[in-house]
Parts: sequence; C-alpha cells; structure tokens
Amino acid sequence: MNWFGRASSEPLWKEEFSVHAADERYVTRRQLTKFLVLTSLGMFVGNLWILIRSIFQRQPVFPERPIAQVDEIPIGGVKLFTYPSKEDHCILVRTAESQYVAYSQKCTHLSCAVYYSQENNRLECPCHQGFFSIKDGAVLQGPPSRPLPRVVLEQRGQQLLAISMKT
Amino acid sequence: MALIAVLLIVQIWLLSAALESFLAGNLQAAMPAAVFSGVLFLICLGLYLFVNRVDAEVRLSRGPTRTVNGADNSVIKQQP
Repeated sequence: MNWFGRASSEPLWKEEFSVHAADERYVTRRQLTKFLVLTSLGMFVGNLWILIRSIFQRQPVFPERPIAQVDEIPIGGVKLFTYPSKEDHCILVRTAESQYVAYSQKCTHLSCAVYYSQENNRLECPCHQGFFSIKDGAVLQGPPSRPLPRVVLEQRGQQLLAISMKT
Repeated sequence: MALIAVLLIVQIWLLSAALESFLAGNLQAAMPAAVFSGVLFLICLGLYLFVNRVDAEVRLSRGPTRTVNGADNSVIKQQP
C-alpha cells in the first residue's frame, strides 16, 4: 500500500537529490587542463622558494675545534665526533700512518648513519647499501646522489683540528 | 592538454633537479631554474587561455547544446 501517494519506486531522497554520482565525478578536459596549469604554478612557486632560500642563505660558520690526538686511534680505526654543531655527527678515519679523513656521518640519501668498513675500505650506509669512497666521499654505489660532506682537517702538533666543511 | 602535460613533466624534473642542486650546496642553479620554470608556466597558462578561447568560439558558433545529464548548456546570446 502506498501511503504517500508516490508512483515512483525510487526512494524519496533519490528523487529530491537528483545529482547522479557519475555526473558528479565526471571531469571535463577543461577541468583537467586547469588542474595541470595550477600544478604548473605550484612547480614555479617551488622553484621560486628554492631561489629565495639560496639568496638569503647565510654562510655557515665553522669554528676550529680539536677532535682527536694524532695517536689516539690506530690505523684503520675510527672516532666519532660532532662538528660544527652538537647535532652534526661526523666520522674520523685513520687510513694510513699519517693520513686522516673525516666526513659527515649522515648519508646523503635518507640521513642514516654511515660507518667505516675496513675490509672494503669505504664508508657504507646500512639502510640502503649506499657506499662512499674513503678518499673523497664520492658515491660508489647505491641510491645516494651526492657525496658525503667532508670535514677539512688540520694537524697542529699532536692535535687534529676540524677547521671547516666542504659539501 | 597533452602539450601542457609534457611541459608539466619538464617542470617537475626541473624542480627536483633544482632542489637536488640546492641541497648539494650549489646555489648558482636556482636562478636559471626559476626563470625557466616561470617561462614554462607562462606557456602553460597561455595554452590554457588559448584553448579556452577557441573552445568558447566553437561553442558559440554551434549554438545550444546539451550536457551528459540533459541540462541546457547553451551560451546566452545577447538580443539585438
């Protein structure tokens, strides 16, 4: 029995709200083109942001800081230290009798801590198998696209000092 | 639309390359990347406006049309 006197078998809400879901989801080519142009604007704004950051980027200050004694670590040994701030972890490696190299310990891929592999004579990132040259920090293998930032060292007497960083 | 999509892909690549270069400490690449990206955006915008104008002209010349769900999509013509 039809109490409301409606001939249609459709529910009342469907008759009153007559927007079809398919029509609502329909995207015209013009709408898609507008979306692409807005995305293009977003890319441009991103590039402008990089430009502004590069213009106003201040040169970092690198203090001179003693990081180790000359005979403190054996050949092939490592010492961890922080430079230039307490949050920037670095790794010092003694590669030969009088050769020391130091790099930022943060992998340039996803910032995992790299470690020194003595048998392979390279710095290795355990997260995604990114390998870096011990000579200059260059990428040997893996996903990192940039070399490790190098800590410039100076020997004064029996002390090794970190004096700056090179990216 | 396909041309705009191709230009957008170039812009995405440009942004990622500029960001990579910036993070590597190379600040010289930011200016040409921003200029080139701006030019690509202007080309995209110009193409969009051009297509819109052509589209409006075609619709005007065709007269009243109907959309998918039957609504009147005709352009209101001014009475003389």
